[in-house]
Amino acid sequence: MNEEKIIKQLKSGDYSNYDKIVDSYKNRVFGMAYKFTNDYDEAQDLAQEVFLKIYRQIKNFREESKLSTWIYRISVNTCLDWKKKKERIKSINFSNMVNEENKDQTIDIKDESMLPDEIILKDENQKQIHELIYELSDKYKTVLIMYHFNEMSYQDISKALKIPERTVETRLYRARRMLKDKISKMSIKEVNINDM
Amino acid sequence: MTCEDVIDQLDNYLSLELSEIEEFNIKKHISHCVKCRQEYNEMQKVFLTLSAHEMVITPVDFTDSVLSQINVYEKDKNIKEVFLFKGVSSILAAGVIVILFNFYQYKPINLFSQIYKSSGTINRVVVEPIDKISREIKEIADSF
Repeated sequence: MNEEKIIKQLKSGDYSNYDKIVDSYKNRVFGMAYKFTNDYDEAQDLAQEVFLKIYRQIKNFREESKLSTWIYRISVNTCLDWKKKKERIKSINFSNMVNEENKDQTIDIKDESMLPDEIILKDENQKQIHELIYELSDKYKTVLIMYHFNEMSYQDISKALKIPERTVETRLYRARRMLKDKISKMSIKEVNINDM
Repeated sequence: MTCEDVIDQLDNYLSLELSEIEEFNIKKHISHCVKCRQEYNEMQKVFLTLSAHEMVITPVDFTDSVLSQINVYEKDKNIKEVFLFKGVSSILAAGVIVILFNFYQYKPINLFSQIYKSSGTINRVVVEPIDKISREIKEIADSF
């Protein structure tokens, strides 16, 4: 069954084929969520939230853009909202820690060993690249993920993010230069370690 | 083609988004300019790294988890709708009663005056035609 038919079904209230939409886009949506969260469990929650939003809002999809563009726009917005919320919580926790009354409060330290590393990313090199992308600021990370991993055109990214195509191009250009610098620093470090 | 032009177009060259002529000009420049060739090599590494980068593996039961969340959402929605329907209908019923009482201005004096006025009207409706008939009979009798 093609995407158009599924969209028509969904709009008429028949959600029996929604799993096909989830199956088609889950890897890219999940991949994007992981690049924003850097945490496997949180990426899962976030990606699920994205698909729940898509389910709730599919009736508003006006088919002016591709379904993929619309889905990735919801994904990016959900990821950015998640990050803002996370930063707010962080700042509240920090102010609590500073407060003398709360000095005995325990801090949750995440157990990184919960998931074997090989489940997340196969090798060390891939993990390093993931970290480099994760460290980029949101505006550069977003266009980089959309172009290189979600295979979107400048035009589709421009529509999804509501920014001019020229801005998409400029952000991509800068994001790649930032990565280039980071990769070359990483290579220098590796060389230094090997020399020791 | 200047070095600046090449650096500016390098990303599009590596993304294969240039025309054949533009590609040819960049290739030609890179072949003799050491600085641009170095930039090209480094940027090519970035492009290769990105294209070889594996996205994280999605959990096997991801779709099932999404569908079960949707089921929960639908159940919650139905419960809310039932409560909303009951709430709204109760408020509407109460509103109708209040409106009715206000409309009739439920006070004994108003009620009795309405009954009195109504009875007067009924009386007129019944009595007037009889009066009219009797008057006409009287007029006919008088004419003889």
